[in-house]
Amino acid sequence: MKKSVIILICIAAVILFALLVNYGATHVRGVPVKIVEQKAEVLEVPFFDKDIDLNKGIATDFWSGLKPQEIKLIYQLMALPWPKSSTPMVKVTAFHNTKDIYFYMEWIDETEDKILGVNKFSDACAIMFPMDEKAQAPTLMMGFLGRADIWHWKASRDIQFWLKEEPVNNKVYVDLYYPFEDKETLVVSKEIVKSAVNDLTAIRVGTVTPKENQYVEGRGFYNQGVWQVVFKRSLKAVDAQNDAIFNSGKRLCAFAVWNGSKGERGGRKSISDWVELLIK
Amino acid sequence: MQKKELIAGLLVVLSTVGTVAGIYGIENYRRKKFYTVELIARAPENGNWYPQQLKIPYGMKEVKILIRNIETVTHGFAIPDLGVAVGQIKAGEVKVVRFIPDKRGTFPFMCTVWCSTRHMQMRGELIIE
Amino acid sequence: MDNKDKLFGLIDLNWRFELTKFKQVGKLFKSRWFPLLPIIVNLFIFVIILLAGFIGGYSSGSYNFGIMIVWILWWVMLMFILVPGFSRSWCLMCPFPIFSDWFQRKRLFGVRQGKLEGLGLKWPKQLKNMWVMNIGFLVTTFFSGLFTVKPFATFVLLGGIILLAFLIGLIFEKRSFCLYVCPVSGFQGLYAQFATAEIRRMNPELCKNHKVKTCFVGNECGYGCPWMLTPFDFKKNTYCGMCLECFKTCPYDNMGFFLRPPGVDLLSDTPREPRRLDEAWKAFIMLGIAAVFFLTMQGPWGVLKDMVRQATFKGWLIFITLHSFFCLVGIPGIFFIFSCLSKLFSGNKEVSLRQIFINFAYTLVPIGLGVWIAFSVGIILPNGSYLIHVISDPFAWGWNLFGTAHFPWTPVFTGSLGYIQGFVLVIFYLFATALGFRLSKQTYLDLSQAKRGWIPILIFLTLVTILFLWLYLG
Repeated sequence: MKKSVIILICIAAVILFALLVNYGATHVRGVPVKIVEQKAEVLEVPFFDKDIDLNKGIATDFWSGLKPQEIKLIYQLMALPWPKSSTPMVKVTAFHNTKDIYFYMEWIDETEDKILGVNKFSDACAIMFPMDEKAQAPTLMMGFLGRADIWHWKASRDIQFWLKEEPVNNKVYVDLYYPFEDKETLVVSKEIVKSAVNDLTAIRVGTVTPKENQYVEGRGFYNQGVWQVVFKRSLKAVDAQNDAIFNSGKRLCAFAVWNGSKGERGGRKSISDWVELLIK
Repeated sequence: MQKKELIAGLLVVLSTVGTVAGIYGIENYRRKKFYTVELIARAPENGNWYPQQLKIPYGMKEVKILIRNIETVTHGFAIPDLGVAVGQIKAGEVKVVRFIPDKRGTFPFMCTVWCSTRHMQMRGELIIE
Repeated sequence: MDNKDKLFGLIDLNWRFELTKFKQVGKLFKSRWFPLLPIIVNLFIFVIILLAGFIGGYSSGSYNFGIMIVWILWWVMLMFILVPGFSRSWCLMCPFPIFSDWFQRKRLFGVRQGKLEGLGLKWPKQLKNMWVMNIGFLVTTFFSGLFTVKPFATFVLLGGIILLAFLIGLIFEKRSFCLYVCPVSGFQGLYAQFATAEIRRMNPELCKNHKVKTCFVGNECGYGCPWMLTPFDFKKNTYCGMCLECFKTCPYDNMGFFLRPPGVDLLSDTPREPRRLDEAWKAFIMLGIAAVFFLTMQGPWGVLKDMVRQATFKGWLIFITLHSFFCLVGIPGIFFIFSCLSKLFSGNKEVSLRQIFINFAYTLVPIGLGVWIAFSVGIILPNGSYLIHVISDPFAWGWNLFGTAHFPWTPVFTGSLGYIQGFVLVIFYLFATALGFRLSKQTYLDLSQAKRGWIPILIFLTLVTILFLWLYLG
């Protein structure tokens, strides 16, 4: 065989192997696709010279004049049990008046669930703020990789605080005080409710604990199939160790909604991805 | 001698080209015969579910999705709206999901196990039309 | 060698048991189907391994046929059974050079006389040693965190070796690849010296009177030694690839396959096959790699694991630097100090330090082999059960060929693992000391010098063994 033919065979073998390696290298993780980095939605928190006294209501007219941000919600499937349905979307608006920061959440719910009972659960919503701003942005969940401050509004708690109504009809219900839903099945202690919003802290999944000092106020109204809830807290954190800090600029938060009539409570909820607050 | 040379050559061809062709042939047949669709589980940063959108005709007798986890982390799979879920799909594992597509619509499916920092984005859509 | 020399006073070093005297074995070794058929079977297995590696990409190694068969089964078989038991028996059935053999000979089965096909260049004289294999194998271990974990990396490694075997076979003469390049070849050659089997000519007189050395030049029944040895008089297993051509070409059936006591070759030092510095370094490198592998793969140190698996590029650079230094300079340096002490203790002025260093380096063959066997036990016992799974589902496609696809990971005897490893280390340490003292006698010639010169080396071997016992037993 001619020398040149042998050399050609060698070159062909090398090229063939290089092609195989190239194909393999581009397919080491299966069929290659363009990976799109999902950007967090941005929720602006502008300044308005406006004060809302929650005793008088939630100033629906004022909120309806502002353009809300539509935030997509998804099933929470990390912690068992899973929710039975998903609330697909929540509209959120926020502002501050240099003294207080306000959040307004609005979502569609066919039934108003505020009375607890056997197999009857309350509608609710929550906002979570990671305490460690360096926490990996995509790790959503109650303080999965660091501490989180969670504001939890619940319809049953709302009527208890604002209307002084008993949130329970039969004195017996299963979902007592989140986070203890799977431990306590009967009312053994009666909490004196200081606000319609329970200000919670968590460092890991399953560590949700009410804070000793409750500084977050809130109120919600159900109106023709829509829940409208307002959260209010002083812009400055009283306890910088445990309360979310709102400096001007960016910070992360996330939203959650519970639909009581679908059996949602505790881990069974719809959640948003991280939302970036832009405090102006 | 010529005959033995031929047999030896044939054996080498069979054990190389024949093996590769045979394996691919069998696998293609098996996929077509026994499964509706193959779904690859991978974390969002590695390409996410593949394909991310599954289209299934309404009224099929039974849908069988072959889910392969081609990564070194555990994934999960669920279509909450259809009440379909498998538990953990460990690294390298293969699971089969069966259900009857008896309602039309677009249903999200997702990973149910914390698999990456972008786990929450490991989602896809099942369209029954 | 002393005619009555008995290892531990029990094993006669001259004892041989010829297996080819059995007619069936003799016939098998003469047949051209052997080892062609085992090679084709292995070719089939390696095609599946390559395919699994190619398809497997970066998927889980424990569910991949390629990773499991190569690094759990094949590697362990090599270190555990094939090399210590049957010398280079892997080379006998290795499928890697089949394509270049086919090309060179234009035959798979038959014998084509005359010049072989290909450029047939001579391998460069400066590289006619183990250095390419030494460095090649060391460099391969730099990527152990990839090769043993990621199926595609295993594909690239094996595919690359097969490609290289083919290219070198086209360009250089005969089995130059196997002799001077193959990374698997070097350590097999080194440790085959300890093997309990050998291929040797039987009656030297017959060979002497046989003017045409058909075993070297070939005839119509077979090819001249592809490994370029002289089967009529070689004394060591090191470079005999057991291709069995000499059985076929010998008209007097004067080649034999023997069982023998372990380690006999270590005591052999002939002008044609002298003890060499490159082989000594192979022993150092293999010992160093075994230590590093143990520390990084079976040890509890996460920092080291991160370095090896290339968690950061800087960490990996630190790893390869330290690893190379340890294997190429560290161990040989320490051994050199003990060799100096040996010369000092012996009081001998005539024997060169170089000779002392080289001769005693061969004591590391049993130690190294023992360490590798112990390491292999540490691989197969915890991970062997994966094999049962992957044979049923080789590509992680959901197959279940033998009904074992769902066999769970089942580590066995891991509670006693350390003790088994310790036992192996001690056994091979005993062989090292028994053969080492004989090496000392060969080195110094005078018994009293040999005894004194042996002490520092014995201390070194003991320290190494204690170190490994500490590592394995914690």
